[in-house]
Amino acid sequence: MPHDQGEHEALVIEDEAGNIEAQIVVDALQEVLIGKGLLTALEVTSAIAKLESPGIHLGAQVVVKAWTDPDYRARLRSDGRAAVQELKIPVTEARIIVVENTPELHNLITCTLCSCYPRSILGQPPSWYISKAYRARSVREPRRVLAEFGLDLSENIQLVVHDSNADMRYLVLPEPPEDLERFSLHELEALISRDHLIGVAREVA
Amino acid sequence: MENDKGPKGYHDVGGDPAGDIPMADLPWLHWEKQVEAIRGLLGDGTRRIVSLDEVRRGFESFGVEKYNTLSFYRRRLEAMTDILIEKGIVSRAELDEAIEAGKLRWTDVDTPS
Repeated sequence: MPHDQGEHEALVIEDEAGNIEAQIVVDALQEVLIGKGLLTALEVTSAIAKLESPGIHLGAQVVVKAWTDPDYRARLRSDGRAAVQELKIPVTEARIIVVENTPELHNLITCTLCSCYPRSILGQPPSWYISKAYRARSVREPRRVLAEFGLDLSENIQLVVHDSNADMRYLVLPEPPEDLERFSLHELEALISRDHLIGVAREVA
Repeated sequence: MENDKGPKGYHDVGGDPAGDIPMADLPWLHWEKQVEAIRGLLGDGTRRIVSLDEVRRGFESFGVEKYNTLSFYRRRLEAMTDILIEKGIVSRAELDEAIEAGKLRWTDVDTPS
């Protein structure tokens, strides 16, 4: 049986027996669907490989390109999906909206209804992103949520929270480090974490 | 304030009181990826059997108790199965039969020490 962590159904996690049961159930479903000729085992295997390939490295690539190429940054801000695709990253989401941090503004991404996330750029969302606690509180008390992530955002900085949905996925464009020129592109990419692109972290340095 | 959209669904938790964020970053398990893979295949352009919106409608309408006791990917698995049964693509009986056969295979395997 799955169980809750904490008193507010923060995150329902399967125990070992639950994971085994779920594996048996999904195998059974797959077997029935294969038996009906609706899919093949090979298709499932290659679909899993495709799910595993995106990750933060793609998001970091997009951000560094935007930091180092003002024209690209403008294109990214006006049509995120097209600009991400320019980098040969396959985008499965209908719309990608890139929101830019400035010295006066900070952006935070959430999905209160479900777990919408720019998966084709960042991969699988972290477990906390899909927790009830994050979904519920990110829009009610975002500064306190940020503090839990160790980010004490100054009251002088405006905070904008973006609630994603199935067809509209957001990506935060963090501010570049001040001494941008000191770094190679590869070094810059390595400075960027997933948390920067969700907005639970701010300074890239 | 008057709410013309009717009562909010149990999945619509934005703004609700809740405890600390669970700072967990759990591994993505094989069965969870398999659920996502099958869902993606069933919804792709050549098949169009189950869409993501239908899966969401599934778990947003299967009742708050079930919703709150199932883990994230289990919700998706159950909702996808419900939609497939609803559309007459698979039957509960044939699924249950395959699950029973799977359980037998699982228990036949010697437990590693």
